[in-house]
Amino acid sequence: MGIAAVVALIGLSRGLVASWTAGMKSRGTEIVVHNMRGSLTPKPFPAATRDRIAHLPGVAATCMILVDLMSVENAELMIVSGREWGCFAWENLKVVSGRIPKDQMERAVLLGTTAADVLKKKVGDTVQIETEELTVVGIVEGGAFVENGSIILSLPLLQQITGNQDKISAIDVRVAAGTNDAEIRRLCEEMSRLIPEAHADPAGEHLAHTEGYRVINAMSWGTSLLAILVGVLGVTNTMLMSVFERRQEIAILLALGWKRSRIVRMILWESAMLGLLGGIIGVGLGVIGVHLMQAAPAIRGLLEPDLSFNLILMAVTIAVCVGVLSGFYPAWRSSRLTPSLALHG
Amino acid sequence: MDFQIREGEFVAIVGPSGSGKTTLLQMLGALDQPTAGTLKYRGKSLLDLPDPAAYRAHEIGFIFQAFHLLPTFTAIENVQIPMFENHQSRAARKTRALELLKAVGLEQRVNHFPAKLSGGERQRVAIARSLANSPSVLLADEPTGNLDSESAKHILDLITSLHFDRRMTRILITHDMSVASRASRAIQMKDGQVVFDGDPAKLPRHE
Repeated sequence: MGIAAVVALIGLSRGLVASWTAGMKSRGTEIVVHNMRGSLTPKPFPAATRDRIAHLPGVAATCMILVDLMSVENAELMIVSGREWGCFAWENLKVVSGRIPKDQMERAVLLGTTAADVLKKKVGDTVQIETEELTVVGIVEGGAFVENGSIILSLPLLQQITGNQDKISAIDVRVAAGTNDAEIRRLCEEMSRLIPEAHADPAGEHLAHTEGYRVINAMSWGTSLLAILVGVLGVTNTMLMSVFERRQEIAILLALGWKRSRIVRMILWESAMLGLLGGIIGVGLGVIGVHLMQAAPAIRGLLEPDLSFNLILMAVTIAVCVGVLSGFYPAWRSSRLTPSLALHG
Repeated sequence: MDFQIREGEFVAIVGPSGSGKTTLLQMLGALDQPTAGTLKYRGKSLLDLPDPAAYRAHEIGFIFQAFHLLPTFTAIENVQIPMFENHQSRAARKTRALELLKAVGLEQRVNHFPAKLSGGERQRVAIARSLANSPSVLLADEPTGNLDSESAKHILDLITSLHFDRRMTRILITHDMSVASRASRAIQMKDGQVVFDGDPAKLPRHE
């Protein structure tokens, strides 16, 4: 269960960052200016902030965005993304059906394919955001999980609906062609100096730097470690029982000339194999759990779990380490057995 | 008690339950240590063995009354157990085990688990196991105690012939005077003391 918890919780928390990073990459964003250090939800800041960074050398294009997590009709949490009309963040959207809004004031929204599925909407239906009823004019494929799970509309419309006139929550920045990572970092530092009300980070890092993500990550690891600790106790108990039940067998091996070190290695090996088996089963349960959670209305379309090979490898490695760790005491106990036990019973 | 056993001797240790036979066997096999006195093997004290496990592996072959085969190991795997500390290749271990199982007439049962073998067959596997490292001494604790008379005779014949062929010293614990009579020397114990040491044919018939 500990390994299942690692796979599920860490997979989800890592998936949060990976999903949002993929979303930004699909929009061609290289730097994000935001104000979400203290929480996971972005805090609005003045739209005029953009004017102070747009002219910087190395900045090729900017796009103002107002994004929020909102309860929309039957969906508990949906990403609602208001984008500056005509900016590059509209370019990645491939229309699957319908069309793009005619202008920024048309009271219309686009739905990502997953969002349309979650809300059970098609072109021509209406969607209620706050008190406004907006027409779905198109279903779009955004090239990333988060984009597909979003409701997309023009920035002024969302500002009006949410009462955030002249406020934005992020500025997506594209840099000039040929700008390397070091230059991007330097640009981020310069932007952060110029705009104390917000912060600039390379795309993909901004979420990982937030307090909210750190809390989620810490809670995921905390819960996982607790589950792992329970696993250690469980495996230790299993191995102790095994050693107890096999004490005569171990005594026979000692009587037949096996060194105590070989007995210790044998128990540790068995314990590691038990951990490996538990790890494989745990990974399977974790993957199933993640897919069940992903189907839950509260999460669906919000994030894509990171069930990468690295995470699976890490989980199985933890399981084997737990196995070895749990085997130490039983192994030590078994090595203390006296070989003369072999002649009894 | 004070006695010596010469190399190649076949000694039967007899005596009633609680007389100390098994304790003596444990000490001879370095499974346990005496609280007083000394035990010497080829002139060296067993109390000062630097590596009792190596002594048990290379100098001693054990046969137990309850066979003590590992139930999850096949016959051929059980025979290989004492060879694990020899740094032999897996193939060499297997060849040696097969050779020993052939010697005890179990070449058709090498891949059988102990549960699928009769009592006599299990003890034959144990005899093969006791010869695995070509030890100098065989310590047998009631090797026929759990067997019917026919199997017991066969096992005794095997112990007599196989171990004699290999010039092993054989020390056998038994309650059975007919078994003791197969030995060249009998030591009778009572309350931890030797009360008879000599020709098995002259053993007192009461215990």
